[in-house]
Amino acid sequence: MADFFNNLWNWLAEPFNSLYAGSLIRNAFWELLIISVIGGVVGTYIVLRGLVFIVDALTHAIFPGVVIAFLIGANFFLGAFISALAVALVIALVARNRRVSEDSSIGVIFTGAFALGVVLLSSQRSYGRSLEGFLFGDILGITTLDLWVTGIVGLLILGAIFLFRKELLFSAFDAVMARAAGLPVVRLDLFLYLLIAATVVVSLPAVGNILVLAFLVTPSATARLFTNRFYLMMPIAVVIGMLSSLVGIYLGYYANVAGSAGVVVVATGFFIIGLLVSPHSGLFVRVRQWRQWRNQLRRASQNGLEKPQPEGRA
Amino acid sequence: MLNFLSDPLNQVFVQRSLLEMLLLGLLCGVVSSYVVLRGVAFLVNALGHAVFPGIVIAYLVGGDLFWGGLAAGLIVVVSISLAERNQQVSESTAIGVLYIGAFGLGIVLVSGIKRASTGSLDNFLFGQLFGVGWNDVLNTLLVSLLVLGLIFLIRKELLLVSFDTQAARALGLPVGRLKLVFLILVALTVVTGLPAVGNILMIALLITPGATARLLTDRLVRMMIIAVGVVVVAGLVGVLASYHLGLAPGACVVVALTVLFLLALLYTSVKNALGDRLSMGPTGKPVNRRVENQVPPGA
Amino acid sequence: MMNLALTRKFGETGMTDTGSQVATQPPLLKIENLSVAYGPVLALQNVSLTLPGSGFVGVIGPNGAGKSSLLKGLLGMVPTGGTVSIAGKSLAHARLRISYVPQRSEVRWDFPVTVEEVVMMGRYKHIGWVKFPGKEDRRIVAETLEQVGMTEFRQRQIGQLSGGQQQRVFVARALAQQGDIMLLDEPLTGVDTTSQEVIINLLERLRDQGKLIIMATHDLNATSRECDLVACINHRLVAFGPPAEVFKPEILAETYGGNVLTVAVGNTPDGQTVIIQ
Repeated sequence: MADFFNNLWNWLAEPFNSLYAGSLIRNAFWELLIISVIGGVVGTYIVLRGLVFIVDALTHAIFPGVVIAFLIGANFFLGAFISALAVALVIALVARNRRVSEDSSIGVIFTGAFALGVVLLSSQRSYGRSLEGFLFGDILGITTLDLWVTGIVGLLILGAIFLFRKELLFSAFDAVMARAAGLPVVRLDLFLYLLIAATVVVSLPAVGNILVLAFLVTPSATARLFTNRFYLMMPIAVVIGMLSSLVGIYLGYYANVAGSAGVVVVATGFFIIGLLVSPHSGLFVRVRQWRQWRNQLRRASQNGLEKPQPEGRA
Repeated sequence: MLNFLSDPLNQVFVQRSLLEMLLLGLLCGVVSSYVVLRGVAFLVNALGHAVFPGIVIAYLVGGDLFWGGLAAGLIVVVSISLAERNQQVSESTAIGVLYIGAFGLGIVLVSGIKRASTGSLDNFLFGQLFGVGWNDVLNTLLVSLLVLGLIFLIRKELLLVSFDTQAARALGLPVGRLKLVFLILVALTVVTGLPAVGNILMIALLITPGATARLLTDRLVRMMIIAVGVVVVAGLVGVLASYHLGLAPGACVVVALTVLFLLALLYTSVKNALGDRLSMGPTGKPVNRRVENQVPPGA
Repeated sequence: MMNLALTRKFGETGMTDTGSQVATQPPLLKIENLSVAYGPVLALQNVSLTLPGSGFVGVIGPNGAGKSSLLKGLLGMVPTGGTVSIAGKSLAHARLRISYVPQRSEVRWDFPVTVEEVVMMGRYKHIGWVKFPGKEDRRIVAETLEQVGMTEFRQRQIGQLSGGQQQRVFVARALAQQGDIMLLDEPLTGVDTTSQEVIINLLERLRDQGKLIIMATHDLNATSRECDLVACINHRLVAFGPPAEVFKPEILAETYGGNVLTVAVGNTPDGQTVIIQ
């Protein structure tokens, strides 16, 4: 028995201790943990405020900024950040036109921005490899410096959210009421976009700009399935994110699966499990509920209910 | 100037890619009009990504990429519609989580194919407009005929379901099945365009032309015609620019499309601003008024 | 909230006449033990109604009391228990005989369709799948547009009309379906007075032509003036009968629960019943 645990421990520890990849994997692991924390907190607001499509657009739309920064040799964090804000602004402007619905304008602008990035990048010879780096990141290329940057920016993001937690919660819960109560909802939304953009940008080197959506949204969506409490959603989302990251690391090491994509698949697996077993709304619970509702409906039509019959009244 | 046009147009591969763009324009112009009107842009985005794992699996087992992609797209769409029935999951959350999960699965599978990894992923994302063969063009032609034919057959019912779901239900139309048929048609369109323009640009082709046309007209049929025209113009401009400047062709087409959209937006904004200043248009027609309490068709 | 509704005093001759007329007609629409549920929420419980072949029926009740659910349940648009039969046939066989005007908020007004195209939608089931509208369909559309006074607007995009005009177009669409029964969900809400009058006059005319009109409404005033029969709904059928029998303080109090306090029901000198809420 002790032998078994010993083997298990060795198996679990091996990726982190392995001779030539150990330090890279340790960095990757810490980076993913930090991203899980930021993603779980920010993602809770995204999911509750219903901003998933906008965030998806933002994550795609930072691409041209990254490419321009790459081409002119500027800081790519800056390029990504500026282009995210520019695209958010354009979407907000376009969505004011009443003939085209918001989701269509989001779709138009983000595909356009993405294509612009591809066009710019294609002016370079043999762009395929650098492209892949931008789109999917390089989880094993995380340096200690990257870790520090992610950690500090993460602390700033969490601090900002902590300061405005009440206002953000109110506008996420009911934007109309919040506006009526005198909260600057538009500015709060912009503030949230800013935090989201920052999260996306610091996550870029590790997970790339397409899959980052999953780190922002999936753990929080899963957490929603397991709790009805707002502040419980965040820790649950963080834990789910961390668990997915850990499993993803092992998948990457033992099954030779692309690191961040493995994490995304695991996190999605948790979401699907949540859909099935959620205590409030899981499939199993709901099948029972449906049966109850159907019976209730049938009983209601069989005169057998507590209320007196109306015929006597009329 | 003559060389500017004749040079590329004499090349067979350019002719083929232009023909492909023309067919895709016809197809996407019509389909994107419905996409925009039904407000399913995010779902189209999801479909565009969700076909990826199917294509990889089909590649791994040596099957037909077309059918693999179609099957994966439909599985994800059906899963989304099941997931959003959960009252704790909003529609946009269900779409976002499941499509990115499917896409991640595709990447996981691709990373298993060591050699072909980079190339096949790039092809999926951006396509090879200048690399389309006659069989691709023929494939697009057949799918276009099928999709446009089906849309023509159910045009009345599709219109009613999109415009006023409650009335469609009251008339006893099979609302759920009509929505599913429509999504199958969209999935077919996505898979067809993939080899030529890749998935992200295919998403653009399924949203932008319809949105541009909607800015310019209040009539459904005119909207479709304008949308087709928009793709054809953008296709020509994009292919020429790409040929002469050596840029990625599919992406050039989408940038051209987006520019056309922004121009249309500018045009309508200026027109509305002028109309407002004159308070009433020359015909005395009030400016497009909108009712606040709109409810999307699915609600 | 003060809400003043005037009810015409139930005259011995006129109304009883209608009442007996109603009673002697063979039933057209038979609702038996209809219940409607949205998940765990039972919106409507065990409603049974037998309605004659022609008449103007008002369905009243507070917000969320199940008025819309009754109409939707009638058409099988929501999960229901119980049965609905039309002239002895099941809903599936007689659906075309019922036309429906949905609540304004459930329609996408920015949609690029013209008034004419909207009215033509009422003909879709007659035209059938695949086929194009024929000459007869076009004639009917033109005729119904004339009836609601919207002919000159037939080429307008639907979103460019005022709320009342839009409602008239939707009534025209229901008319174009040429059923015997018309269900209207809050047709007078958010509608200008001209359009209200056009719609009410039209509905009266239809009733006189021998159709059955069922209207869910908040407008107690219009209900008491126009309707031959009134159904009071508050998750169940509280009362059903001619307005004079239904507009009584105790029934209204039961229908509207604690939300509306009926202060007085009395007769004005010119013989009208006054309801002060």
